[in-house]
Amino acid sequence: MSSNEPAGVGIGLRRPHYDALLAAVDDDATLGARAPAWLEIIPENFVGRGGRQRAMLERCRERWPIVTHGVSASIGGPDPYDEDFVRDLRALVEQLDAPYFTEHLCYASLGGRTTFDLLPLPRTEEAVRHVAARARELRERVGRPLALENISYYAVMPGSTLREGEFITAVLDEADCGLMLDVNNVYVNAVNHRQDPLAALRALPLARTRQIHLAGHVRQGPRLLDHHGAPAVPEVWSLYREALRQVGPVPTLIEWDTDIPPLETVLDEVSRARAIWDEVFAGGPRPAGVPELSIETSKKSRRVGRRARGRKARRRDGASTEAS
Amino acid sequence: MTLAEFFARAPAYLFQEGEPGALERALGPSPSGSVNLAFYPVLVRRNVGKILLEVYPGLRALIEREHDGLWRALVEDFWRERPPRGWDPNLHFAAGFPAFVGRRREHDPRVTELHEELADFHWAEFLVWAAPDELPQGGGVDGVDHRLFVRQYSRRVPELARALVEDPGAPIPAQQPTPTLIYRDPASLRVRVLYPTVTALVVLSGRRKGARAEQLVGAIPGLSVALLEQVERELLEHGVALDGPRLSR
Repeated sequence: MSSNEPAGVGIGLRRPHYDALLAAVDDDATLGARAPAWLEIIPENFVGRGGRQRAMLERCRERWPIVTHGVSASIGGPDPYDEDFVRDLRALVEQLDAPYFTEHLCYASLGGRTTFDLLPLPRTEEAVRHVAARARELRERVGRPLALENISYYAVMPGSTLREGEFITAVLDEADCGLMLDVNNVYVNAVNHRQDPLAALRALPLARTRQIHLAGHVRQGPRLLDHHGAPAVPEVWSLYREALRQVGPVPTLIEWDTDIPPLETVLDEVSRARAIWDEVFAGGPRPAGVPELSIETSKKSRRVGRRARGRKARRRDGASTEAS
Repeated sequence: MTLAEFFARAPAYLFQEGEPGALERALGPSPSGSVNLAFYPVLVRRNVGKILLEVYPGLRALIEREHDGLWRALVEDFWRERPPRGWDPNLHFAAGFPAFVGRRREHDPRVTELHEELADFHWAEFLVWAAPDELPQGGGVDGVDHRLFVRQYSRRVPELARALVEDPGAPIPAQQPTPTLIYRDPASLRVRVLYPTVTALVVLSGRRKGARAEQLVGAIPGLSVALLEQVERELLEHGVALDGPRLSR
């Protein structure tokens, strides 16, 4: 494994943490064993930027493997790729010597207009062929392997004929891409669409998993919102354990994008992920508060979870906005 | 239903430009129901509000405290007038907001000079922070450095902008014409603000034109070559002026 290959548990590189991470670049002891093992960036925050953004990236690359997780390529969309952005993305990935790059299985813009959201496509055979061709094109143009994320979706588009797992599997098979497995999205989608989380996880093409995301969500009105602004809930940790059993020691990332807390809080999530990692791969003890999942317990915890988060959501009313 | 049919009807659905329910009437019902389908236009609208809030936090705080509903109306009208086109939420969308606020001021008495100045400062602050390290041809926005913005505000706008982020009830400074420099500190790469003296402005202007100190002595009363050189040294130390031909060479 080369030094640029992510391994273990990492975090997203976010502006409020720059000073703390720079200190860790200068002195290993600053974060000690709690330091993240690797970093992920949103390339849109760095392409064409100079100053502290660029300097931070260069300093962090001295210590950590860094991969990119894009949000704007609109791989499933109808518009041609932005030539300048794809060129700059390729340059960024090359500069980082990232072994792969990731994006979302969605569309974000159409007719030249941008939504700044990650939108679900109609799940049809035609859409499979369309997205797969576009994914192959982007992979060729960036020149690295590509992994696509299972997005959180709040509605199924008219005309859909495939289930989520079938659609994602067909796209990744036809494009020969990796899966950027977002475990929180699996859980949020399962609750919102009244499915069993464990069954939803197992329906995904897990053998293609290149990387895992973990994050928090919030209840807003009738649905869970994937807002990346809270710790992951116990049910997501349980799903994560199951995912690791299925896919092996795949690099895992803690995402936190809304109401970003001090780095220590994010590193608490890193520690939780490492404890489960140790349980699965090194025979460590089972972390407290992370129950074993089966289809039946998964259904039960979903019902209990809905009631508990409903109370929590009322306390958080107005305090959060969504982030895709 | 073909994918082309979906993409043809999706803009009206997402940007709420057609009748509610038109997408389902044309393409069939959503398997997850109409209520869930109606959530995406809400998300798209929230996203643009969130972008402007992040780039213009002080302006938002002031407008919301002064006029209930005005900020929301400005966001909505700006989005309708200039729908985002391009992947960068700041450069391809938020960039146009100061000019929009300026135009709005011409016919909406609730929008003031201070609002326009706050919008201008927030955007300049972003540009200084994010600008590429390489100097563009011609030297940049103000002809000195693309990371240096020279402004004449009606008061200490940067201090107000930052205070409003901490406390939406922050007092508004007294009106007094205030030359303001917004620039990137070359050492820390952080955004800095300097309220320059008239002499400092003479020095910056002179450097921009490639003038010598002797040529600037008569610009305003009381100047000397020694004073100009001293101020130039201070501007270089602050990082406002960068390497280049000195006034005395």
